[in-house]
Amino acid sequence: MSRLLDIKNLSVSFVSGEETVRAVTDVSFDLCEDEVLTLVGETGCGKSIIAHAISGLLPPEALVSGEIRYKEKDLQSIPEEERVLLRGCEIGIVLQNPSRALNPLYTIGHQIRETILRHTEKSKEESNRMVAGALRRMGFSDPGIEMKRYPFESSGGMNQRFVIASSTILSPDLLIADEPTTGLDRSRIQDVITEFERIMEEEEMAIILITHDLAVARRLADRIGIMYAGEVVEMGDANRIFEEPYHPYTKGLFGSLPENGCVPIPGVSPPMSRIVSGCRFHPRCGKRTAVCERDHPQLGMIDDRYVRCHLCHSQ
Amino acid sequence: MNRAGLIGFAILSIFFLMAVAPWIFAPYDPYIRFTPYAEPGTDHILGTNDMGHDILSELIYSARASLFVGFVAAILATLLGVIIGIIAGYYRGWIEDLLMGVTDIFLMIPKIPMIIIIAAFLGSGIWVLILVFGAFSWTAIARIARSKVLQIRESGFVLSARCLGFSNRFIMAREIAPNLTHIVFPKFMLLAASAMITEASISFIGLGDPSMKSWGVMLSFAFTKGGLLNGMWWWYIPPGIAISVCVMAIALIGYSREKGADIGVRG
Amino acid sequence: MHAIIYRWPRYLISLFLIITLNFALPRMMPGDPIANLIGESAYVSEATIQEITQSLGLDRPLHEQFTLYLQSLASLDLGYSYLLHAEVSSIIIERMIWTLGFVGIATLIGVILGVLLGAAAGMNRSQKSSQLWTYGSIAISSTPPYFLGLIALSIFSFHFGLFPLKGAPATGGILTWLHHLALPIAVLALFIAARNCLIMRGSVIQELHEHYPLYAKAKGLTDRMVLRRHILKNASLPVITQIALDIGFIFSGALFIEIVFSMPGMGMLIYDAVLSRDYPILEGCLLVIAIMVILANIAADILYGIIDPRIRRGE
Repeated sequence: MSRLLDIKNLSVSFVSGEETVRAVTDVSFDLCEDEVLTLVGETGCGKSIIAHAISGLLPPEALVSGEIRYKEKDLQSIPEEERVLLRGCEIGIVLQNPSRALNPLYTIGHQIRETILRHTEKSKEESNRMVAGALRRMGFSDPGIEMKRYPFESSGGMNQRFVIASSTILSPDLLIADEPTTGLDRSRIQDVITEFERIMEEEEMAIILITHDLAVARRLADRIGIMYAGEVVEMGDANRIFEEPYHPYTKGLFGSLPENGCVPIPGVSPPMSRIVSGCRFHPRCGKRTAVCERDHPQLGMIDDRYVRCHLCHSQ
Repeated sequence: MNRAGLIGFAILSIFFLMAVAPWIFAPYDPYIRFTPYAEPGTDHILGTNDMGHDILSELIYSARASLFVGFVAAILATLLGVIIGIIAGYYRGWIEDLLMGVTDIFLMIPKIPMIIIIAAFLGSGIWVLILVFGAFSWTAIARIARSKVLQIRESGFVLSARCLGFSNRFIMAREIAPNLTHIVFPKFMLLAASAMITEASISFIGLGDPSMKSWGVMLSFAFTKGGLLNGMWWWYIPPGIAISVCVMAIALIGYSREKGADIGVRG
Repeated sequence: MHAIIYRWPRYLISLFLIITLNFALPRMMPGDPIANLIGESAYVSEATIQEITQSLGLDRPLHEQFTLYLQSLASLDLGYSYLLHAEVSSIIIERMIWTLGFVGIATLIGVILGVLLGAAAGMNRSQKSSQLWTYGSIAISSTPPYFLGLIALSIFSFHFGLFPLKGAPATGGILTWLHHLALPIAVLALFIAARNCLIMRGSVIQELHEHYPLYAKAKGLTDRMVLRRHILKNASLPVITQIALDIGFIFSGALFIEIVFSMPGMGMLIYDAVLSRDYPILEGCLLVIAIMVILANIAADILYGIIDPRIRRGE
C-alpha cells in the first residue's frame, strides 16, 4: 500500500490576547490508502483540531506549523484555490452534530447534490440520479422521498448518514470524520457505524476517524492513536493496543469503559494554555516517578508501537 | 466595556453634566434677548435665533429636556416590559399565552402616529410623550425578559427559593429580576435612544412642550421661522448634531453591552 | 402554514384595538366632543352640528355609537374633514399614493443596500471597511430622519443648488419628477439601509456561529459561495421579521422627511392636520398607517413561510 498522507511535526496554537493555547503539539503520523486510523482522547485533547488542520477548516487566527503532505503535495503551501477544490472532492469531511451541519433551509437532495455540482460538470438531473443511487446503496428504498426531506424532518442519525452520503458521493481518497457519532443515541450510533463499515467494504478510501467513543474506535480502526493534552501518547495497531495497552493513560482510558469496571482516571485534563512540565500526564498518573515530573518524554518505538512514556521505555 | 462603549460613556457623561448644571457651560441665560438673527461671532458663537436668544446657550440648556424624556420614557417602558416578561415566563400557562399575545398586538401599533394623535388631542407636553412612549414600547423588553426567565426558572437558586417557601412575588423580584439586568440593559439604552429621537420628531411638528427648551423644539423653530430657508445653518445644524451625538453615545453603550453581535474592535 | 394562521387573530385584535382607540379618543378626551370630532378650528353652522350629532349618534349610548362607527368604517367611510371640505378617505387615498411610492422605492433601495453592506460587515468584522459601515450605520440610525433630510437639503439644494427645494413638481415629465424625488428618496433609503445593515450584520454573525457554514466549506465551497448560497438566505430570515416590525418606524420617518421636502404625501397632511387640529384627518391617517403595518407583517409571515420550510411544513 502506498502512502496517502504524511503528517510531520504538526503543531497548532491559538493566540488570544496574552494567552497562547497550544492545542496540538508536534504530532506526526502517516496514512496509507485504504487504512482506517482512529484518533481517540478526551474532549479538548486536540484531536478535532488535527482533523480541521488537515481539512484546512481552522479559523484564520490559528497558527499552524509543520508539514501536511497529501499525495506528495504540501497542503500548507499550495494555493488556497487548489486546497478549496480538494475538499468535498478528494478529501471528504464529516463533522459532528449532523443536524446543525446541514442547512435547515435546503432539502437533503439539494445539499448532497451541491457537492456534485461544485466539483463536476454534471447536470442537475445526472446529479440527482447519483444522489438517489448513493442513498439506495445506503439502504433507503425510496430515495426520492428522502431527497425531498428537510433536515428538521429527520433524526440526527439519519442526518449523519446524509452527511456521510454527501461527503463520500464523489468517492474521495481520504475521509476525515470528526466525532461522527457524538450527540447521537446508541441505536443511531449503530446506524452510523454500519455506514462506515459499508464504505470500508465497498470503497477504496483512507479514513481518519476522530472519536472519544472507544467502542466506535474498536469496531472500525485498523490503527489507533491515543492523544492526551495535544500530544500522541500511544499509536499502533488497534487490535494490539486494545489487547494490551502500554501507556498509563491508555490503560486508564480503557479502564474507564463500562465492561472494564468504569474506573475513571483521577483528575482532569490540564488547560491547554498552561502545559505542565515533564510528562503531561504525570499529575494524573499513579506510577509517576521523579523523572516523569522533570523530563518531557519522547515518542519512541516499543515492540510494535509508538509510546510516549518514561516508564515503558525503562522497562 | 469595549472602546466604543467607553467613548459613548464619556460623551454621555458630558451631556448629563450639561443637563444637571447647564450654567457651567452656557455663556448666557437662554432667555435673555439679544439682537435677533445674529450671525455667529465673538459675542455669540452660534449666533442668535428669531427671539434673540443665544443659540449656544439654548443648545446647552436643551440637554436637560431631551435626556429627561429619553431616560424617563425608557425607564417606564423597561419596568413595564420586565414586569410583564417575568410574570409571563414565571407563571407560564394561559397567563403566558395571554401576555405574549398582548405583546404581539402592541408590537403592531405604530408608535409615532399614536403619540402624534394623542398629543394633538391632549395638548403637547413632555408627560404625554413619556407616558404614551412608555405604554407602547415595552414589547421588545417583555419578549427578551420572558425568554430569559424561561431559562432561569428551572435553575437551582429559583427552585431552592421555591422549596424554602418564599412567595412568588419575592422570588420574581429578588431572585429572578436581578438576573435579567445584563440582557435588559442594552435594550434599555436603545429605548432611551429611540425615545430621544421620538421626542425630537414630535417636537419638530410643533407637538413639543412649549415651556421647555429641547433640541427638537429648537429644530422645529429653526425650520418654521425661516432658519432653513435663510440658510442659517448655525441655527438648525447644532441641535440636530447634538441629538445625533447624544443618541449615538447612548446606542454605543447599549451595543457594547450586547452579547454576540458586538460592534467593531474590542478595546 | 400553521404558524401563520396562528397569528391571524393577533392582527385582527391589533386592528380592532386601533379602531376602538380611534373611536374612544375624541369622545373621552377633555373638551367638547363635537369639537374633538370635527376639529377645533373648523367653523360649522348649528344645523351642521345637529346633523353630525344625528349621524354619529352622539345623543345615543356609547355602544350604539360604536356600532354606528363600525358600520361607517365597513363602508370605508372615515369621516369628513370640515377644514379641507372633503371626505377623509378620498383625501388620504390621494395623498397615500405619494407616500406609498416614496416609501416603496426607498425601502427597496434601502433594504438591498443595507442587507448587502450588513452581510459584508458581518463576514469580515475586523476589516476597516466593515467597521466604517457599522459605525456609519449607527450614526445614521442615531439621527432623526428629518434631520438627515434637513442636512441633505441644505447641502445639495441650498449650497450646491443641485436639487430643487421641494420634493414634488407641479408639472413636468418623469425626469423632472426624478430630479425632485431623488433627494428625499436617497435620504429615506439611507436611513432604512443603516437600520438594515445593523440587523443583517448581527444576523450574519449569529449564523457564522452555526455549524452549517463550516460544513458547506467542507464540501469545497469558497467563502464567497458559502456567504451567497447559505448564509445570506438564512441570515435574511430575522431581517424579514425585523423590517416588517420596522415598517411603522420607516413610515413615520418618511412622514417627517416629506414635511422637510414639502412633498404632498401623508406626512404633509398630518403636519397640516396637527397645526390646524383637524382630528378626523389624524384619526384616518392613524388607522391607515396601522393597516399598512399589519399588511407588512402579514406579507413578512408569508415570505418567511416561503423561505423557511420549518414554518411551511409546520414543525
